[in-house]
Amino acid sequence: MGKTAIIVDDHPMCRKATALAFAAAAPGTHLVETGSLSDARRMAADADMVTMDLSLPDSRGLLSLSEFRDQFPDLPMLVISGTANPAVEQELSVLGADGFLSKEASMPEMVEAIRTVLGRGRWFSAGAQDAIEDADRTEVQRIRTLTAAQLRVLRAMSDGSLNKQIAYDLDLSEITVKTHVKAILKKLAVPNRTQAILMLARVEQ
Amino acid sequence: MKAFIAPVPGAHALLDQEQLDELIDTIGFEPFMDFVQSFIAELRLRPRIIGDHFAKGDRDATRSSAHYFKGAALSVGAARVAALTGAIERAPEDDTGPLIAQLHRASMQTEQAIHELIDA
Repeated sequence: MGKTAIIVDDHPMCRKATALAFAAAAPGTHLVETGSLSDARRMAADADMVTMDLSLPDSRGLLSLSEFRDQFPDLPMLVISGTANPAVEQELSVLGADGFLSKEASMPEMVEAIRTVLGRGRWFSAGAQDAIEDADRTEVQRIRTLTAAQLRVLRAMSDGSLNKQIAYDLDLSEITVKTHVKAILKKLAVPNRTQAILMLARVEQ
Repeated sequence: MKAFIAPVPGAHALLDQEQLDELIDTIGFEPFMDFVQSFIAELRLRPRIIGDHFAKGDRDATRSSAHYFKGAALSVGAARVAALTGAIERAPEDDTGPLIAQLHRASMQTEQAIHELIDA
């Protein structure tokens, strides 16, 4: 049986954007769209993931989100908001959200975020991730969160290749390589590609 | 050392070309066309609604409508409209009227830029 995801946003265009991203990230996922938190509550028990706007007509922002999380503690939840702010992201992480995405995120980034959270991963911006990241997590563990494709891109970065060359060598589009690089920086919680390359070098010593 | 210059909403590009390219590349041209048509409807409707709320002195509804419009603008890469709606959300009352006037102009210009993009 296929997976079901609930898209909660009061703007039809934003729901549409998320639905298009789901179609690319997890084709075949049954999508239910709603503009209301109470509808989402009614349907969440049968869902495999929820994407949630913070500003809904029947929501009190973080407080309502926290109550929703208490009611459905195991449901993968990606918050998609027009309010981008590392402090809000940290708060969301503490409240149990699995990820945060700004509405200005590119479509490839939205696809990758949905794929990650649906696969029970976490997705926060690099700045917020630094604060959120478990201090005990080792560099080896972070490297091991990379997918096989992301690891291939990271190795190519280590060889000194630029995105265009990596795209050619790995038979990918340059946009796909850029998306992989962004995901690598997030997962490794580093601010730039040099730090990512250095981390790989340290764990492979 | 460079002086800090506060961002000016009107100085943003009308459309974020890179975001649009990535959108088309990921979802395909036909779904993009459907998506962008929805946004054109928003461009024609929403600035007037925001202006009506402001004319009635309903500050909360003005901010709320601006936030609503901003979400759509961000998702399609309409950078100037997104910047202006964000500014309206945060602006003191005295600054809101001029920002709404800018939003009307930016919305018309954005629709024109979208048509040029589609026709290109």
